[in-house]
Amino acid sequence: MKEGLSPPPPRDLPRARLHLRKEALMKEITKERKRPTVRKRRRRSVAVLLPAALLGIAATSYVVLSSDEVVAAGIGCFDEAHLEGNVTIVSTSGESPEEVCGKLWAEGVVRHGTSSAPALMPCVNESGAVYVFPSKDESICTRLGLQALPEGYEREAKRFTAMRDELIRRMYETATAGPATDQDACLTQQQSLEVARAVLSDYEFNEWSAEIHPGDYEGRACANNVAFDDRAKKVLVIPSDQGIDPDPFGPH
Amino acid sequence: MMDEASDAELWRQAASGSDGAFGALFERHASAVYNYCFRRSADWSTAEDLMSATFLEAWRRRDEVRMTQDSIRPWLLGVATNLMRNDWRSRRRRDVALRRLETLPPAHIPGHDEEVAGRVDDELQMKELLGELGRLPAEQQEAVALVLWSGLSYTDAGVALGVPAGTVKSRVSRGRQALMELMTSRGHDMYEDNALARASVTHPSEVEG
Repeated sequence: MKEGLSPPPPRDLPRARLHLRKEALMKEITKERKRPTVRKRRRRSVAVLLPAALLGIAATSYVVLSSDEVVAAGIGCFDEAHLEGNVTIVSTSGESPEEVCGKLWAEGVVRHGTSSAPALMPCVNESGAVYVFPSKDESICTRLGLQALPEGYEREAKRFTAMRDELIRRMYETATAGPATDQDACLTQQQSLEVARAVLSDYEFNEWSAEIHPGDYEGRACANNVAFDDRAKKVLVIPSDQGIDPDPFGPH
Repeated sequence: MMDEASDAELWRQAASGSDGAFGALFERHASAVYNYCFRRSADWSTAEDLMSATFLEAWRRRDEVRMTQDSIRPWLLGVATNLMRNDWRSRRRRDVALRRLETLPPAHIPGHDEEVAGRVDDELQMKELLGELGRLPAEQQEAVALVLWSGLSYTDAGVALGVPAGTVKSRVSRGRQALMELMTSRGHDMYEDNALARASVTHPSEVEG
């Protein structure tokens, strides 16, 4: 193989193959044109599920536990049995995906007005994102081009949750370890990275690394927020303007 | 004649419901999208799927596009970039598009064994290259892939990424610097015929302000 960092020269798809692709595309476009034009607006919401003991801390200091970037560390609860339904994304809690979504159904979060959960089926896509659909159909994953939840998922989810919660605890403790002041407590980027690396090591997440989120954060003094990208196996420390309220449970 | 119409005219007709116009745009830009998807996935078969998904997504978003340039290509590469991003919305869009499109049997590339072997070599070479690129922040990867590998100007890459040309320029500059450092640390010849050697001279789009 040629050494170096040059991309290979472009290639054309064979003419007959291109024609097949075009036909399939035009066929789908024709079908879509015939579908009703009034489409339900999709709702996509994010909920952060954390143990109560952490909620006060997390709500004031640590965010982005479930976002677009960290979805594999989370679960998508769909309100209909297809990929275009509304979805509520929650962070992994260590419980089974059916239990996690079941509670949100019972609280009326996944679909407004509901107070009980239907039968739920969990699936994963090729990237490892977990989707939970209201369905009894055991073939739903295959039908939607997805796969069944892999064996060992719950064990891994629990392990991840334990590491994540400990990291939040330890960042909070480190930030508030000094003498109390009226000022919000701040972790420096270096402190956050050190805490994250120590927790990853303690919990034997040996393939993971910790780094500063690669955004433009010039002038942001604190680094108290973390995100988890479990596909890239990275803890991302996110600089911010806000410090940690040293007494999150106190009067405000 | 469709063949002679500008992208803007074809797009206007496609948005008004002309399948023929959309088909002509597909014919015109499929190869560029296919090759861009290959450079981001290192897999010809995946690139083929992504190419189809890109055009389907483009058709769905046809009302959102205001053509401000002669070519629709930067915007199409932007749609492809979005589909390939590793986030919740992108993955779901991709899942939906691929599920909708009729599954074609695996491509049989007719012709000489040389062509088949060449495609296998391409994939190995591209995987290696993406391994290096993957060490850069995502926004730098996208800028490098669009400007240095696909030849878009900073302005066009800005259209694709939805950011100002100046932002693309600084991302390319930082990405190029990081790649050069990586390459140097691995003992590659800086003047070898490779992307970085080409990148070490002024890119045509650098003449922009």
